[in-house]
Amino acid sequence: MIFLFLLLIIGVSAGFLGSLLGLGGGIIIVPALTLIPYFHMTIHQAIAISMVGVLATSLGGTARFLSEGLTDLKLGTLLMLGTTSGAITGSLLSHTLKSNVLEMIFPIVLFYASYEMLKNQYKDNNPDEPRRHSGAGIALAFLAGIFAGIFGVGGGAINVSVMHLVMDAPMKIATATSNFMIGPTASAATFVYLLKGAINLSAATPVVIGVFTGAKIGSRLLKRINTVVLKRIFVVVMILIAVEMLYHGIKGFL
Amino acid sequence: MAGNDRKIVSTVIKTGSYTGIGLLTLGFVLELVNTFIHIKSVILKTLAFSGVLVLIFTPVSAMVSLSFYFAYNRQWRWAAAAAFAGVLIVATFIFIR
Repeated sequence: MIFLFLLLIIGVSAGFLGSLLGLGGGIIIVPALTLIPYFHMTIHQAIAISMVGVLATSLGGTARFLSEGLTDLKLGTLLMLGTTSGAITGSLLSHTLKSNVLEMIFPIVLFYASYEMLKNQYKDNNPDEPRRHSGAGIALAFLAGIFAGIFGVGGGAINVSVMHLVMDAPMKIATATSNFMIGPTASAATFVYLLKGAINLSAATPVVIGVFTGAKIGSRLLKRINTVVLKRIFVVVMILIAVEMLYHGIKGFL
Repeated sequence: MAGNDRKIVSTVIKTGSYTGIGLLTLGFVLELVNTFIHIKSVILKTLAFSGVLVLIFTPVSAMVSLSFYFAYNRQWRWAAAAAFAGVLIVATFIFIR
């Protein structure tokens, strides 16, 4: 019983943060399930459950963001072309590329995006102005897809940064659109895990219910939260992802 | 007409997600009840499996309906982009291993 409620709580916090930042929530689910010894889960089991969680975050948040007019469907569709083709390329290249080298490059991109985000923290883009640099946006989304295809994380962080910093989307629209974009990609990965029988369904159920509830709460908060605060939370989470990847990359070299 | 695309996608997502979460919640409640009254594990597994399956196909259905919406309104470029994104998502079903 305690086991189920603990999973529910992990799900709620992951869904809340994931929908608020457009990141999915895997950053909370995977470490929580693997580091808390009570669950006895391997990294692969945790990733499989986190994929269903990311899917639930996207679905839980997107319905509300759409009704509030925060999701830019055309921008999301455009970038989805880049991320999905990148994800396919990434998964095809994952056997040939040295992942340790990439694990050192990806944090640099995240650190740079964090720096840019902090530098422009008091500035937000106008929602009525058309998005710019579509070509560059798709190209960067393609690169984000490659990283996500190889490591299974980080796609959302790059998507939000590209939409806000390169394509001039307001921060809230960028996070809401990223939330919409992560759904289809996560659904593909979840489908493969489900067919392989890699998802522990009795553990995934409370996580998904929790994530969906958390995503509903997070999506309600996004409209009200101050953009500066949102950007600061986003930067902290991006730095955490970067440090974790850098640690893995250095450990792989040693 | 502006905003109708959002309404359509939102309806598809709400229908799919509430159905999926509903099935999962039913399974979760039965799992809790299972402590007191024995329920066949195949029922619990079927509920969880079908719930996750409904969630998986919800975003794909949303992209398909978005593509149809754009095509209906003769926004051919966007219809093609949404359809192509849908094809790429199905391709990732195959390529992600």
